Amino acid sequence: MARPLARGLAVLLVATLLLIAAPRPSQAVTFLEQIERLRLLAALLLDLRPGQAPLVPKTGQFDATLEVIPTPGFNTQVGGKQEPIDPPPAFPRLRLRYLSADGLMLGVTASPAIEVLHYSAAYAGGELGLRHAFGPLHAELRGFAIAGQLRGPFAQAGARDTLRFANRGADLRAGVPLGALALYGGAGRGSTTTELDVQADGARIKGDNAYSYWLAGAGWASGDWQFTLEQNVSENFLRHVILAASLRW
Amino acid sequence: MRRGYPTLLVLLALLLPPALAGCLDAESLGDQPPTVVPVGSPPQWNNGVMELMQLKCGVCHRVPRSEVSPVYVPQTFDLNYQVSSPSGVPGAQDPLVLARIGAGILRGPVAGKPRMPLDYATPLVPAEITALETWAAAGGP
Repeated sequence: MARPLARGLAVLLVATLLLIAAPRPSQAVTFLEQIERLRLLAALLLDLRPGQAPLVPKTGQFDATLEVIPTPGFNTQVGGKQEPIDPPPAFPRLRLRYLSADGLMLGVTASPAIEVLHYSAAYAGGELGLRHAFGPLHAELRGFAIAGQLRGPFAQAGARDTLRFANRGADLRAGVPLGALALYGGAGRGSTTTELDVQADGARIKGDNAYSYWLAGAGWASGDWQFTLEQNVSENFLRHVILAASLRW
Repeated sequence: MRRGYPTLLVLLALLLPPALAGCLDAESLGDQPPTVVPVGSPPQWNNGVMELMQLKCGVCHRVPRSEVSPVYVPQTFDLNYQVSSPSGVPGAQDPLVLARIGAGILRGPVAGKPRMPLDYATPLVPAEITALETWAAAGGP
């Protein structure tokens, strides 16, 4: 059993590395494609990714998690203009989950619009998962939905532009507990609806996009606490990590 | 199961550091070049000017205005058509449009109007500007 597991995890890690290292082809673009990509980047960074190993607990438990999601730097050029987008270097997220001993997982997250460095993000989301242990291999099939809005200067310094987003999707991940350590990986598919309101000229730009993502993570349990580092790769244009600390009771 | 631990740990030791080193990146398309539309010589509506106008001008300059058009975009001409739109709105051959191109609005402000396309829109490359100015000077054939 160990060899197939090791082989499977190795394949997952190598696949994640290849996705990270894959060169991106140069492409000629229009400003609408650049705006669409910026909308997608924002929506996918705020996506409700798992952020946790899919282990089935021995007893039912609640789980309160503080996530920190670092924001990758990116070129904000649109057409011939450098847009004044300068988001905070990281943003936090609170999540509450219930995990039952028979594998049910229910989770919620929400945030009011608290302004940090001229930007605010208000959202609410939920997730529902079913976990199962196949011997030493734990797996979870999970569905999620999250919707909210970002406000801040996207197109003009000092403006209060608004980006609304609604994401939904599902993912499957598997992992193995190795003592206090848990390694896991998975893949998912989602779709997002975004709508950008530009305050300065009244333009409203909408879009619907589907996306795929892959993830690999490691969790470390210590008493009632669990710490998780999860690498996410979305399509071929976004790589970000989720750092999480969870308290269970 | 225990025999697999060393293999896993070696794999982790080898693979996780480089994976984490490249863990944050966002490709925004901001560093990609603008789409360029080839235009024939001499420039004519049907040998490239139409595609160029529709891609880089008519996205905003249309009647009724599109969702990406600024609210102040004029509704007196539609640059997706040469002579006029199906509803009768003057097209790119409108004398005002030809005059503005001739006066250099693709290179800088003209008569209080900003340079076109606006700074956030898909920019025209020099060959496209030359083609549109030549086309306008010839009366928009």
